[in-house]
Amino acid sequence: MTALLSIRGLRVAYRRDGVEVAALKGVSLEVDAGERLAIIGESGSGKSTLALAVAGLLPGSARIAGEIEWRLPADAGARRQPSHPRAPILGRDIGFVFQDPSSSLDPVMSIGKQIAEVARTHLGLGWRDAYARAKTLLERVRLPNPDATLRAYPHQLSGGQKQRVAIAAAIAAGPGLLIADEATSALDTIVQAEIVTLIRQLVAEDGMTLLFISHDIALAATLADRIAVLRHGELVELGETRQIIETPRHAYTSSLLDAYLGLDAAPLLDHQGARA
Amino acid sequence: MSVLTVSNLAKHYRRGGKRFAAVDDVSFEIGAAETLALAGPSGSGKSTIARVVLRLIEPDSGSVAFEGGDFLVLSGAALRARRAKLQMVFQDPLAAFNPRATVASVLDDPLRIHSIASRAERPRRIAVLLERVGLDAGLAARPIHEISGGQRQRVAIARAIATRPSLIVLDEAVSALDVSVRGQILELLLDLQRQERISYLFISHDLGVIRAIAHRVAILDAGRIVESGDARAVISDPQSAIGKALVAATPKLNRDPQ
Repeated sequence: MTALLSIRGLRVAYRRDGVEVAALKGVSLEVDAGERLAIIGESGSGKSTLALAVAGLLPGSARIAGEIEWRLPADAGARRQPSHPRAPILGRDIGFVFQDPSSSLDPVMSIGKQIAEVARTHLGLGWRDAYARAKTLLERVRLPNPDATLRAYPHQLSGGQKQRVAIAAAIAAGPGLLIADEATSALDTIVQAEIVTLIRQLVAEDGMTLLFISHDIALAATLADRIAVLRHGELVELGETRQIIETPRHAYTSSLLDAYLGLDAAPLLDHQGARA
Repeated sequence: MSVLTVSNLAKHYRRGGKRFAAVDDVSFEIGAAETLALAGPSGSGKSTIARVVLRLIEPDSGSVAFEGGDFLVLSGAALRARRAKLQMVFQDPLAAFNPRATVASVLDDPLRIHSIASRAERPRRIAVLLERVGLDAGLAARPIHEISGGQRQRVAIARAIATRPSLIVLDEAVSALDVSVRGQILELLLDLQRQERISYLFISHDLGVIRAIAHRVAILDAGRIVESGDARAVISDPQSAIGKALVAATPKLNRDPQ
């Protein structure tokens, strides 16, 4: 497999109340073209910082060291040589889906325009073609009645429907990399499973590379080829999903697996206990 | 005798000119030192039921009996007095506290308002409460926004038990916590239940958590209880469509190597 991007010695620090806080302390990993890589960790692990760094979305005040090297395929028809790497463009090369679709969608812009705008900006389409593409995308993310949804506004949709719109906008320009940062965490279990199924399907259909950021190791395991475990800004373990789940090498990974309360875990409650 | 008896509860809202049932003819009981979980997707009515039980909103019809007395007819001083016995812990402890409060002032309020301890006695009672929820008494002077999320949820539990309640409503109380912290908070809740015989109305969308902590579960769909029973039995073999969908949607870790 060829790497789509190589992260080497990435360090990111934020200033908070005049104190510098390290969010990533030298993380190195490769993201292979076409793979589904999950980045998991608890709060303060640096998983979202890693996602933002890859997307070039870190705030200007963040101190960044290390490098992220991209190997983007040359644009079809572009005169650029493949040996001459170009910088990725957010929206064009990277689609980003955030946790809260209410804050990533513009509340006073119609759904159709929000998606069409991405296609217009990055693909150079006119409005008519961009809207046609937006309608196709709404069908692809399985929103009922795409014609009506094009004219709807975010507040008219449920949380799950809004996240489908955010995904449609993220993939509107056909990016090679889709980053989902806790994209299902604000949704209930049933809607979460539907969105994960949708992401899996879209990634497969378009041959996208997926970076799936989550606090939930079990959810990540349902989607990812490989899992990277972050803790306190450091990469603890990186491996094939089955290896991470069945034979974790690091004690921290084991503790995350042990703490997961699945439907087969031993209940904490002894049924004779509390009521007797 | 049951601590809480909810009978034929109904609550309607209007959305876009249309009347719809947020809670539709819901009845259940919770016994002493028992945990009943309410599970269901977003909009199924879980939190509306919690708010009615806490008297934060009024139902359209139905009754709520708390420790044998009609809880819905109470008002003023009588309601405030009974509220000491019926406490709550919400999902986001930061939103539940005055952001400028210290840990000590958060715990001082219920002790003062419900006249549980004199001014002179309160610092000692606060230290005991902190210890009870596994926190260092030295944390008392810290601003509430400076401590970690897990510590904050422990403070919320300490505040809830300060008035020696017989029932605590826990609305997604562990949903925002890291998994390593979540297990500790669930253990703390079980420990308090065993020692002080507190009952819990435990609201969650997470069947794994419910299975770990609840005796019984009621599964809600569109405002109605569609099935209920022993938590492990219902979750291992759900009969309702929504129960089956919730179980199917819960991620499974298949940890055994082949």
